[in-house]
Amino acid sequence: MLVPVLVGVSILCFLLIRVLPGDPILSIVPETATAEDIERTRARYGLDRPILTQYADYMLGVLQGDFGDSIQTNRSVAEQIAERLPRTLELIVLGFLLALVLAVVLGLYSATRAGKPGDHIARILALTGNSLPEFWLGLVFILVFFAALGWAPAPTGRIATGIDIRTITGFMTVDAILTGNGRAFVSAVYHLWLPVLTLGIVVLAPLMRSVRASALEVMRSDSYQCAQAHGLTPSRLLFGYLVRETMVRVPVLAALVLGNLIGGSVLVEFVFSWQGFGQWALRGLLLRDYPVIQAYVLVTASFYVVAFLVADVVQAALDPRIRIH
Amino acid sequence: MTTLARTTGLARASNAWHRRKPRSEISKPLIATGTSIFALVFLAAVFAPLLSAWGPEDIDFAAFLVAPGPGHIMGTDGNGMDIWSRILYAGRIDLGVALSAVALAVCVGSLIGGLVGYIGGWVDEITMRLTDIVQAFPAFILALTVSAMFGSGLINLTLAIGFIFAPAYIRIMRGEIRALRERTFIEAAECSGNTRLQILYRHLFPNALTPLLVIAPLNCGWAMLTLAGLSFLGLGVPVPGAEWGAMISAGAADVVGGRWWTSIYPGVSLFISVLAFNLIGEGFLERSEAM
Repeated sequence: MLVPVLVGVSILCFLLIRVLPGDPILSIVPETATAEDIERTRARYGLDRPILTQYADYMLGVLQGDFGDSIQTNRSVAEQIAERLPRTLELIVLGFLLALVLAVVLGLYSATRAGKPGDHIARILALTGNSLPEFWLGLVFILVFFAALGWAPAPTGRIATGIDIRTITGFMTVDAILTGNGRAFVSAVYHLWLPVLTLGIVVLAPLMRSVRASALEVMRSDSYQCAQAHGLTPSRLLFGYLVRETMVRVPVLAALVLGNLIGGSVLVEFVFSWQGFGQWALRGLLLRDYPVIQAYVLVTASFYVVAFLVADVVQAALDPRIRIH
Repeated sequence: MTTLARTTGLARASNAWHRRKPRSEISKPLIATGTSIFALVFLAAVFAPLLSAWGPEDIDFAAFLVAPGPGHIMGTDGNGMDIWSRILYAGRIDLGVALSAVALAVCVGSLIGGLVGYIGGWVDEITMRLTDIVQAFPAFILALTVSAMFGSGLINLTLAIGFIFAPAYIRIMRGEIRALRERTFIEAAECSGNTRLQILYRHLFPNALTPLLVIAPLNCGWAMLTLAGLSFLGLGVPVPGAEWGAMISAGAADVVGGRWWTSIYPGVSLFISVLAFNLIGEGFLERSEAM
């Protein structure tokens, strides 16, 4: 299931970008280049060979962890992924966790007050967040928290200039903790909170919806009503029965949301000049940098597929009725 | 993934008619509010020329980047264009592209999904694997690629957005048709001598449409956000075309300097329109779950 999808994605991407109008070679040769020069450059990147050979070569490389070199910068794509991916992952994982925690709290709050004003308000709020264009919300946050209040830094990167931090994992906050660099940690969090909040608000609604629906179903179930009838304390009911059973159905949707986030973070990265994975791919796409686009799509699709795999495992761990064979 | 199918199957079975939940009371106000907002935005877009003194691309040479006030109620942008009239005219593009893209996705998706669901066999198998692949593609990047491929005309943008939404409809339609195919009323229709085509179009299609239409409003909102996002990155409606995302993008640089009106107003319009679709969609979902 997993491998054929990824192979299919790689083929589709490979073909799609080669159908794109625009020639990556023309963007790197000088204007005075003769037709011969252009052909020579094309041959250097192997783009003159039949597409099947190109694909086979590329996939052989990928299997060995070699994603080729960027046509624009001549740097190894794998190296650039290692540099860019952690930036984006840090952003989306934190944004996702924020949304997940809020979704569980709000979803349970809503479900336990189903049909009452509190329920409606919580749902409308989530729906409102979901209707906000994330790039615009980011701008509004910058306007309010940076330009007006000064509570957030200028939207230019991940850490204040002048702070030295040794890169270990690429995750700014993790590296700061590992190296015991307090100043860097504070600065990293200071730069993170606005984009993380932006992402979290936007993806909250679908998560909350599923938590609420699932909690309602649990509360209607015979087992829950039986427990309730036995007079268990509210906190015992909540944590022993409602929360656990509710969480069983959340992982699949959470995987979908998380999987979408990695491909959907481009706009937020753009607004906050994050220079992450998405922005890197966008530049690659605009300049028709084939190896960059291919690598981006493959990594994103793998992330998506793996997220679903993890969701299945988590679900099995939460739900004793499901066993993975 | 089989576990997922199993749990949803269980959930469906337990939702049989004798356990029908009471119809949710909130679906009505949700749909009503959403529809009213939508109607308002729609009418404002249709009657844009009557509601504004300036054309969407008219330049007031006496007013560059003026704050909202008399003359320009929402101010002007750096090119001296009136924000209010641009917002009104932009509604035409944003609503138009979103509605046609989703309509296209629903038509194409249900047609393909219905056919492969009914035919089954290897055609079905291949189509499903293809939709797997398209859906594993990051949606926004796919839209970027397709619109870069076709160029950024309005029709191309509609096609690009329709293309990324179609697989979801193929999947839903196929699932519905396959579930319906086993039902007795289809057997009855077969026995009374209907041709396969008649069964598909008279009996299967109409009964399978509801779940598709339930998610359509949500997709309209999403389509609008996608279009605006593409334009925001400069790959959608080109300058100086009036489109909300492009307007937000043009005003983005002003924000840091405190000139908020160039990007805040278009964003609010986009937000309100998407909210309208989401309210309708939430109402539909609520209603379909209560059924």
